[in-house]
Amino acid sequence: MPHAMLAEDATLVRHCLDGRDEAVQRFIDRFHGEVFGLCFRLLHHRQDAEDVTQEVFLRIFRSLHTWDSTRPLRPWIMGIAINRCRTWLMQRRRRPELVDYLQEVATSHPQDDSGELLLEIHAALAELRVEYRSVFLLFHEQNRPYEEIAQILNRPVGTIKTWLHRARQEILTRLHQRGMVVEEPSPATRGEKS
Amino acid sequence: MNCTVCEELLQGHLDGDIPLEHLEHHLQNCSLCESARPAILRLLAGVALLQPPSPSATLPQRIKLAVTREALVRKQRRRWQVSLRATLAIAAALVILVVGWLWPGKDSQPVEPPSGDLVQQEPSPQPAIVPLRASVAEAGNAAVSLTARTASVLPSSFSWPWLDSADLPELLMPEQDSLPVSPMLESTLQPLQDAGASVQAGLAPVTDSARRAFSLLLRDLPVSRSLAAHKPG
Repeated sequence: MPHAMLAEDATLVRHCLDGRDEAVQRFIDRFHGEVFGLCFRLLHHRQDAEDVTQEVFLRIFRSLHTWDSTRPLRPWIMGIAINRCRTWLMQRRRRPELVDYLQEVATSHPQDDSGELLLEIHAALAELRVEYRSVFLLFHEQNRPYEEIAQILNRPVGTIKTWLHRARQEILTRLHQRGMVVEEPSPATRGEKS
Repeated sequence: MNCTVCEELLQGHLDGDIPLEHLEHHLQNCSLCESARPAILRLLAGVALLQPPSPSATLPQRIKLAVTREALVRKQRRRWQVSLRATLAIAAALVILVVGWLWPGKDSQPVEPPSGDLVQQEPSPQPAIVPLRASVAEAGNAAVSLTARTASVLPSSFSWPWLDSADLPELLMPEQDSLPVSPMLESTLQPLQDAGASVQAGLAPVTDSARRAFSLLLRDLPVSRSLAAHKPG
């Protein structure tokens, strides 16, 4: 991470700790989208995701003075978000509710079959372990590098790579097992048909 | 997926290390990957479509409001805690002061209530913290004896410049009437002795009252356990 970025983060945090209103607003504007995106993908529920995002920011501002200014800010924030989502999921397991990710993807791409495709991916993602799901989303949806994901989840890069590979493999298996994949004819059969 | 080559190519491509053509070339030519090919293509297309969801427009304001409200509550709570701590510190200091004042010293001895005569205090080898009860008793004894002494030696407190210093012991012992006293001196001393006797008689009720008051005060004062423990016998 560039040194200038670290210095910028440190300045922003210092201003927030000083109680500057505009710094707090800037902090929220900068990170709330990513936090909400991850929460929504992990929880599959918009309202829950917004509630957890709010809770995450409350926790962040409560413990902002404990942030190590020699480390980048984003992984610290996303780590808190993942931990909160995990706790929320454990609590929600006791009171199961319907997830609404179907609504999200169905309205996003009404023109083609990409909506259906995303539906398949998210349905397969929903069945993964939280760690696998987090790594997959951080890498493929939020485009975070391995090193940053390792910092977020506080695991070695090798472990993150293993988790991501397993996540892809499991999604692939589930896509295949769910029967949603239309079997394409093999090149030989295609040749015969044509 | 049974083909390890395909798996490596797929992971490498998704990691951004291997171009898609390599994977496609393998998929078209590998018989093991034939059944997995549609799922792989579907996964690749799906991953390319992934986009982070957008939060509602009001979410930042909601977060800001919640953060500001909590900061305010925390500030008020901190202020209240500071006030509470200051109050507790003052209270603790007062308690320590009172306890230190009432707590008897290690070598202090209990003081008997005044019996009318001046209590002779043995000089202690080390200065000890004298409890309040002992201090009041001592002060009471001193006041009573001072009152009595003032009444008894009042005549001697006058300065008589015409008297020789050798005569002073006689003057201070007026009860020794048998000693020879010159008639002139006797005529001078007599009114003074009468005056002293009347002063003593007049102050006697005051002396008794003071003694009674100090005795009552001593009776009402709380006796600490350690004082009781130090009580001889």
